[in-house]
Amino acid sequence: MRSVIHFASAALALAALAFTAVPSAVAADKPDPVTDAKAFKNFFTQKFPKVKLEDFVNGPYSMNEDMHRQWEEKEQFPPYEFSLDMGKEMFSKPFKNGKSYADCFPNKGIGIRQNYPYFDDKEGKVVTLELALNRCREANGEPAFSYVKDEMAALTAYMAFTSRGKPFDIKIPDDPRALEAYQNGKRYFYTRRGQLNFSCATCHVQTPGERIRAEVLAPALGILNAMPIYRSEWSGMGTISRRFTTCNSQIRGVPLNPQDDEYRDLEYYLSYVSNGLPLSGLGGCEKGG
Amino acid sequence: MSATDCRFPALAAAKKAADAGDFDKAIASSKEAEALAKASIFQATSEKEAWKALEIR
Repeated sequence: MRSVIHFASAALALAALAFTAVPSAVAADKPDPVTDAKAFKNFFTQKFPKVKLEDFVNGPYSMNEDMHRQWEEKEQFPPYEFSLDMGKEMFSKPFKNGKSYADCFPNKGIGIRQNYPYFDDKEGKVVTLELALNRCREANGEPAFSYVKDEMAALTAYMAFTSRGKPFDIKIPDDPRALEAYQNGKRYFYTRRGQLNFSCATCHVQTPGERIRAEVLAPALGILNAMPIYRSEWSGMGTISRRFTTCNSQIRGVPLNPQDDEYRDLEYYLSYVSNGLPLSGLGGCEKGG
Repeated sequence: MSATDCRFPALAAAKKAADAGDFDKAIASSKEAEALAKASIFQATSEKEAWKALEIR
């Protein structure tokens, strides 16, 4: 009996190794982000010919007229307003050393959300807004916030709101590491995982607009333009990190740690293919999306 | 609950049952853990290439 358990342990260890091997594998095909983004937009606009390109950022609410009306009504009394106020207050409050978030960002952090994530050529990695905010805090002697809790959601909500209407403008510099990060993000998006054997694309490319239990699935096009997002299920705002990790849990996979390289690359890929679509910051969602 | 318990609940259940002397349950949970591990290996291996079939082109 003990040998059976030992065999299972060994098999699980092999499985863990196999999982870690996936992100480092490099596809033979040369990545072509420009062509990818064009194909991505074509796919969704052909699948949903009645939805205007800029409306995809409204996620499930873009999928039919009834849902869209719900969105418009919600916007009369936005459920995310409290988070926005909290974020604005937090953003304006100086750190103990007298400096503030404004000192860490271009244009004092106002109207810049559309440029995140970006590829940092010094670090050789993707830097997301959530990561940049925590780095700013740590550089000023403040403890980092949790990536999946209210404070980070509120801060990013405020910053996203100051960019509302601006089109995503994610750059992929002429650097093979940036292209590799993009490709890693793409691979992560399409790779099946978890006991349900779902990829991100299973829900957000193959079946947007359909229901999964009570939830209407959002299209992948423009899905990050609405982040952070208010979800009734959470009774509050959630960050991109929170959405990625809960998505992984929902498919019975093992989530990565927030802001692990794979998630940063995934955000890079998903944001890039939605370039040109406006930030709706903030989004609302009945339940899922 | 340890990280292993969270990541591999069937294996944790097997260990717990064995510790409690319930060897039938321990063997059943071990077999489940083994099956899940084999499925994970298959999934991770096949997805190294299979993800490309889903890609929008």
